[in-house]
Amino acid sequence: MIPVQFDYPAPTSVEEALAALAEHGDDAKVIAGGQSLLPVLRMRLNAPEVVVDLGGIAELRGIREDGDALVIGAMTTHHDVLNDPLVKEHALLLVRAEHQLADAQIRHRGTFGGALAHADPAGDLGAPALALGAEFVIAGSGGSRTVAADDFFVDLFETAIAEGELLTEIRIPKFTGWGAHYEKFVRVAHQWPIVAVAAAVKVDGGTISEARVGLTNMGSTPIRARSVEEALVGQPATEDAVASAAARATEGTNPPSDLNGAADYRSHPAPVLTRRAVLAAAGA
Amino acid sequence: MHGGLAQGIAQALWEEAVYDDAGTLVSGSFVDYLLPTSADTISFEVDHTTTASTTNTLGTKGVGEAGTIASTPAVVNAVVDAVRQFGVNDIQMPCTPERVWRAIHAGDGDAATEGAAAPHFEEDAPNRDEGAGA
Ligand SMILES: Cc1cc2nc3c(=O)[nH]c(=O)nc-3n(C[C@H](O)[C@H](O)[C@H](O)COP(=O)(O)OP(=O)(O)OC[C@H]3O[C@@H](n4cnc5c(N)ncnc54)[C@H](O)[C@@H]3O)c2cc1C
Repeated sequence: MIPVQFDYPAPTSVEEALAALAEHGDDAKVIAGGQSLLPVLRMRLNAPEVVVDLGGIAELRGIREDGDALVIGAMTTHHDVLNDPLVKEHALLLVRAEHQLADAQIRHRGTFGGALAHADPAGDLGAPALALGAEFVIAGSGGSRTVAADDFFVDLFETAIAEGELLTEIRIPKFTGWGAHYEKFVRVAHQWPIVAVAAAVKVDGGTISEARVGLTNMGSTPIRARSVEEALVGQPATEDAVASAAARATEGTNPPSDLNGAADYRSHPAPVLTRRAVLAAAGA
Repeated sequence: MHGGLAQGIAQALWEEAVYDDAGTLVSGSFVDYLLPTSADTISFEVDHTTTASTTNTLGTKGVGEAGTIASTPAVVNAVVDAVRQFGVNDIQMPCTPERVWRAIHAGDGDAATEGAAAPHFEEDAPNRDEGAGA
C-alpha cells in the first residue's frame, strides 16, 4: 500500500520536464493528476525511481481556440473540460463523457491528457476522442509531432507516446451544432464502464447527415464504429432506422472478459447502447 | 437502518468475493468488489413497529440487522419476478447484468438454474394473507 521510494522533480516548463525524462530514461515516469498512477504505485505494479510532476507547468493547462480546432492542454483537469463554454459549444461529446467520468473529487485532480495517455480500454475519454478525430501533440527532445487519433491508441495501456516523450495538447476539430451523447453502462455509479458508446450526429430536417460513433471497452483500444456511422448517414432519426444501423456495433470488435462481464455478454449491450446514444444525440 | 438496507441490497446486486482457479481473490479492491455509494441506493422510508417482545423484561428486539436480512431476498426476488416470464426461477447473487442476461437466454423459456431450489414463486399459490385468514 506504500509506493517504493522515488525522487520527485517538479519542473515548471515542458523543456525542463523533457530534460528530466531524458536524464532518467526508463527509470522515470511522469505524474499528472495521479488518479491512475498513484494506485499503480501503491500496489507496486510499477516502481519508477523518479516521478516527474507535471503539475507546475502552466503552459500545459487551459483550453483555447485555434481556427477550426479546440486545443486542450494535457494538464487541464476533467472538471475544467466539463465546465468550459468552448468545449460545450464545439465538442459537446466531451462534456457528455466527462460528466459521467468518475466522481467530482477525481474530476478535480485527474487530467484530460493523463486519462488519454493512460489508455485504459475502459477509460471514458478514448472513444469520444477517437470519434471526434482528435489529434495528439507529443513533445520529445527532437521537437513536437502530431499523431492522429487512429494511430494514437496502440494497445491496452499503450499509446504512440514513446519513452522520454510528453503529451502536451490535444486538438479537437470543431463539431459546432452537432448533437452528442455518451451512453455508459455500469453496475455502480462512479465506475469504469462495462461498455459505453460515444455518439455525435448532425441532424438536418430530421435526417442524420453525418455521424461519429466510438465504443469504449469493446477491444484493447477504443474503437470507431465506422459501419454504424455509414449506415446512419441519410437515415431519419427514428427508433427503427437507428436500431438497424446500431445492430452493426459489434463489427470488428474484440471485447475483453473480466469481472464485469464475459466477451460474449458485452456484445449484447453494445448495439443497445449504440441505439440509445445515437437517438439521444439526435434529440429523438 | 439505511446502512443495513444498503448492505443487504448490495449483497443482492453488487458485492462479491471472486476467486480465480488458483485461489487468488480477484475482487480484492473496492473498485472490483463493488461497494455501493449513496449514488447507487434509493430513498428509503423507515417506519416503526410497536410490538413488544414477550421474551425479555424490557420488551426490546434486535434492530441493527433488520434491514440487512430482509432487503437481500426482497431485491433478489424482485429481479427473479421481473424475468420469470422467461422461465427463470433462480439467479445466483449478486444478480449481475450478465447473470440476468444469461438466465433469460438459458433455454427455451425454461431457464431454471441447475440445482436451484424450488421456484420462489408459484403461479396459483394462494396469497399468504388469504391463507392465514382461512
Ligand atoms: C476511483 C476512481 C474512479 C475512476 N473512474 C473513472 C471512470 O469512470 N472513467 C475514466 O475514464 N476514468 C476513471 N478514473 C481515472 C481518471 O480518469 C484519471 O484521471 C485518469 O485515468 C488519469 O489521469 P491523471 O491525470 O490522474 O493521470 P496520472 O494517474 O497522473 O497518469 C496516468 C498515466 O499517464 C501518464 N501520463 C499522464 N500525463 C501524461 C502526459 N502529459 N504525457 C505522457 N504521459 C502522461 C502517466 O505517466 C501515467 O502512466 C477513475 C479513477 C479513480 C481513482
